[in-house]
Amino acid sequence: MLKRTGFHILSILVILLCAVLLASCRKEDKIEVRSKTLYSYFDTVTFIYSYANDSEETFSANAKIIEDILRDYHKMLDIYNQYDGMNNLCTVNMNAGKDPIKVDRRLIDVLLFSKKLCEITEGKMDIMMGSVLSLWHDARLSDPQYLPSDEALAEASLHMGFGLLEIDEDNLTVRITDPEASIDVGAIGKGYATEAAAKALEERGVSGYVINSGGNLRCIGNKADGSKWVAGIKDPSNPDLLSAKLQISDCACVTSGGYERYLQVDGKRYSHLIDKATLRPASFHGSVSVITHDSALADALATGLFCMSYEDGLALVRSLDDVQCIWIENDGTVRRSDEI
Amino acid sequence: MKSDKKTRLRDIILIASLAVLGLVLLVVMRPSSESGSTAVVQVDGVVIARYPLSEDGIHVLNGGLNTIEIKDGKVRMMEAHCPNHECVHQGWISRGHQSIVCLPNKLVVTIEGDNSVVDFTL
Repeated sequence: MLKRTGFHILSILVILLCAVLLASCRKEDKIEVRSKTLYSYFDTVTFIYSYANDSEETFSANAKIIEDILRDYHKMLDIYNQYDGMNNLCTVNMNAGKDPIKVDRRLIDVLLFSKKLCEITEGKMDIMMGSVLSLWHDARLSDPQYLPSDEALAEASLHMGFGLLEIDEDNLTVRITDPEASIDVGAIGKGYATEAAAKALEERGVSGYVINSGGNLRCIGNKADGSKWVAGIKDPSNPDLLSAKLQISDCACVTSGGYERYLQVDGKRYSHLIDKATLRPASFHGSVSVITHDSALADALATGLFCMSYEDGLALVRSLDDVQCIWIENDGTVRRSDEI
Repeated sequence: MKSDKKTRLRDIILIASLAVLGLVLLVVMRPSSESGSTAVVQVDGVVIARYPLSEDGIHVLNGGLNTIEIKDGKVRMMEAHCPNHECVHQGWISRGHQSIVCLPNKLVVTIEGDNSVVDFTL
């Protein structure tokens, strides 16, 4: 009797052990993640990841599709360099106050999208702030860094606003009416390009890919095992820590914060995101993350929401379909929109 | 009396079995320790070096353009010849979802072998 009991227990033990080993083996059966790093676009590093368990050849082909699109948009939206055989934003800026410039249809679409977002954010996300942004850009890149003077900012602010841009959809031309004004699509460019690349893969039926272009995350489908990706939102006051975690798939997540690119003068940090109302770095929040399907929309909204109060931002988010937001406040408080 | 004794023996066997099972579970399911993590250095998309985070040290990389330091299971960019030193400002990293980027020198440091539940940080 005793022997039999012992045998029973032993059997149960063996079965349990097998179950545990099986479970742990399944856990080890991980997706083989492939990745590629790009350095040359939008002044940031772009990582392309495949969680699709696809072959190296398939991954290379898909990564090439993405890179080709990013390169095209990078050239079109570059405000510092011109390229042979094309008119880009640098060309448009250099011809401010002169004749209309003929551009690619895709560039017209970027500008029309920017116009829509400028209206939605009530001017908080305005690509026609080049005159002001260039002052902050120069100050940030100089050594030592400095703050632009009140006089210089006030003078530059006379030459900004979307009203200074004429877009002729029929003739595919663009003209800046004020010779001192200029376009800067820093708030929307990489998000737009990332979205275009993601759509190209979606049209080919690809799933299980992620494009991470300098904090501009766009997930295509799910991981190969059907699970979601986990994105952590950094604590702006200590980027080693996370303030929030969220599960995402088939959508974009873009964070605007002042903790990665900033200007430091006399020990004080100033974010690179400039509030149109004050002409100075916005300081409403530590960071703002926007989660929505379209990476271009997420990018533009993150910039706009960073430059407005939580109350105004929440009202804006609620007025839009399928847009969620996480605000990390300067004191570390985490606030979320309704459905996240 | 006899059956009581039997029950006690069965109890002992059961408890002992559970203890063994518990020990086995501990060994099998033990989370991989920090010492398994590796810092992977890429320049222009090519892996040029791997360093276990368990071994403290200072490594000059990329023809002297970048220097990383590994200490207490973490890695940081200690020195860099680049305009803004954004890579140096990024501080210490140790988790799989973290990276240090020096864009001007096309150098990226990532962490491998860390079973982090987070895939990306923003």
